[in-house]
Amino acid sequence: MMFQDPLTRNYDAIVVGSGATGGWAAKRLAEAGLEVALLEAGRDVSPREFTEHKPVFELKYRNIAGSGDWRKTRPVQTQCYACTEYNYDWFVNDLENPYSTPPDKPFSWQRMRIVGGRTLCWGRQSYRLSDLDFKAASHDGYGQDWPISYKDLAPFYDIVEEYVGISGAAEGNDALPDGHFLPPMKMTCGELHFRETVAKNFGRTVTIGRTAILTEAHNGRSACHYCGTCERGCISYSYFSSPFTTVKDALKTGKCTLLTNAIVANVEIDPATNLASGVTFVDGKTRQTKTIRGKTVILCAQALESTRILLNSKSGSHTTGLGNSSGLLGRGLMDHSTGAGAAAEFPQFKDAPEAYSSPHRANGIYIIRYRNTSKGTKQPNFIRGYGFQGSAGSTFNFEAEGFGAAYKQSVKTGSYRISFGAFGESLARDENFVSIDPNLKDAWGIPALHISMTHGENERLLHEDAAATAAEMLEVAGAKNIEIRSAVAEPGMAIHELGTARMGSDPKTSVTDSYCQLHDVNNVFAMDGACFVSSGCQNPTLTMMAITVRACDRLIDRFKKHEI
Amino acid sequence: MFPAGDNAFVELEKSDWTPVFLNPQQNETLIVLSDAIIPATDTPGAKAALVNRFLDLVLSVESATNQQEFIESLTWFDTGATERYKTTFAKLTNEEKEDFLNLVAWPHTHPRWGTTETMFAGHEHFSRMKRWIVSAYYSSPIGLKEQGWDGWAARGTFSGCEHQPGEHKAS
Repeated sequence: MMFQDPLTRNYDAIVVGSGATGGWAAKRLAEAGLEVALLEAGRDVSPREFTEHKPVFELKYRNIAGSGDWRKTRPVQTQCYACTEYNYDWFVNDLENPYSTPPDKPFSWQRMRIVGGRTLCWGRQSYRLSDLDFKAASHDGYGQDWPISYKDLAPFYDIVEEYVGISGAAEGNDALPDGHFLPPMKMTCGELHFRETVAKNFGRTVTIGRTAILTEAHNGRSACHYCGTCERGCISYSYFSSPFTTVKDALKTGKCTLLTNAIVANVEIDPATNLASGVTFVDGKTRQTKTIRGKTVILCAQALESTRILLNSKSGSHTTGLGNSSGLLGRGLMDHSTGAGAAAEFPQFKDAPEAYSSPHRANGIYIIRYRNTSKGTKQPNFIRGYGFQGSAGSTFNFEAEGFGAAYKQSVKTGSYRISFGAFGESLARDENFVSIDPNLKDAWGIPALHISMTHGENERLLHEDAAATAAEMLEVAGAKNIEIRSAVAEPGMAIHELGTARMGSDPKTSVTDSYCQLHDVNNVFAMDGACFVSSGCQNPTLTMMAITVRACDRLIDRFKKHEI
Repeated sequence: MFPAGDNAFVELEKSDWTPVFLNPQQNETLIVLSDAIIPATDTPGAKAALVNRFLDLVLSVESATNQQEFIESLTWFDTGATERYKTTFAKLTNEEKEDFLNLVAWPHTHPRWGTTETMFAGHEHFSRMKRWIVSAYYSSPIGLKEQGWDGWAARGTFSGCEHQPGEHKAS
């Protein structure tokens, strides 16, 4: 094949972002025969830089130093457990990628710029939403329903799960629809005991985490070898990350061109047609501004980055950003509320701590939402619900008191503990928003975001309830020294940013249609978390991917009919 | 980011190693204190794990506050030893070290008669030093072996509970 400069071509589709959703868009469109340009703001990634098997003492500072380079350059990113001395280069440099917040409204924006984006380090928990979520407004009167229902998305959940490989257990619980699962990972003694007592006493479901980690060979990838540190990469590609799956498939078609270090600034609009003609980006290496042409533009840059690009795309009649005729672009920012939970000792279990070189399960237990799921569980003081994620097991007891040989022995004896934390629904409120900060630009001269978000009263009450019900379940299970916490953490900490370009049927009250197409511009799409109408309480990546596939299939259909 | 074989620990093992942050007396006190808190038993202790060398390196890039607090606590052990045993911590006999650490290793060892208990400053200094020493020891090759590291990455299959239903408490 002759090499052709990508900048001289007119692609069928420009996909911005190579993470969970961008990878799927590139794969789906390229496999359907469309010519795709896949733009990634970061560099390429190689399996040679995976460090999941590297012992910690080989690191200069063993991820301990409070003032190490990774903390100096990434003060926000290191708020994420996964951003360490091992892999911080995958995360954005906060000094080059600033954003502002009101002084009293901190927001922790944790993000990665590299091929694969956050799929390299994601938590991998994969849950379906249900009509309890899609039609939440009809249930309790708050906010808006999604323009789609569970049955619209179910076939696309199937496609994504089939390809990605999700291990888990079917539970027949309507609040969390079952999917197509690979065999579930095993539970510990403490977890099984907890599952049994919670089911018996409260009728609530404690299940093994549904995770995008293979428990058997699947689609050419190997089963998990349980080294336990997925966030540093996986040499057997056992957890799902886009560079080694969807992006690889897209490139294999010969129809997809990957451009790295392409930091997209804005979408270009042809005033004659009111259609996008391409995107303008800054080359991260040369700092040159370039434009690439395409017949459609698909934003998969991560909810806030996609909205930032739209807000920065002012032209002609789009005076307040592209797709903003409703005035709602940037509004309705959500991030699951975290912070509530409980931890306790499980003294009836005496197992020795898991040895360093023995198998580790990078997964935990999940307690399925049990509040406001039916008339019987309707709460008087808050709407929506929460799920819990945690684990029980024996760990080395570094916190043991004393010194000397006795201390060393106590560490090895370990302690058997159970702990879990809540992910609560974050209500879509228009006063939680992102806008362009007129006085702030990133290192490439692109206007930066101003993020203004707080969790509200409903989230506070929901977390108080979560702490109380966590304690009651632990109590019944015989746990001791139960410590509960109910304070809501600062927004951003769930790393589940959603909304700001929500989908809907009415252009006056939404930014995109149910296929992620902007109401205002027929060939621009926001196919990531930006289109979420409500947040549910489930980890959102699986749903984002399903929405992307659904939207792409529609786009392909229309493309083939020459409607686009 | 990490070329194959890149192992920062070899730097600490060099025979001509000298501290970059601690002065010689501080270094000596740290060696003895760390080895008293985590001694050699049937497995090697903190001194063999080169805890002092690693902490010296970490402190060299730490925040000014952390550096200052570390030195304050480390120095406290020499001051306390001099007050009580008329010599520096490093020169205490094994019995004296045991005696001294027993005084500071537990919370509330210094209640004053008739007043509410106050936190004994010595315990805070001990706790701070112990946190640093524990993190350095258990992240060293010796410390990883202490946690069942066999030189290989973890691997296999996570077996979970292998008891019969309802018998999970059998362990």
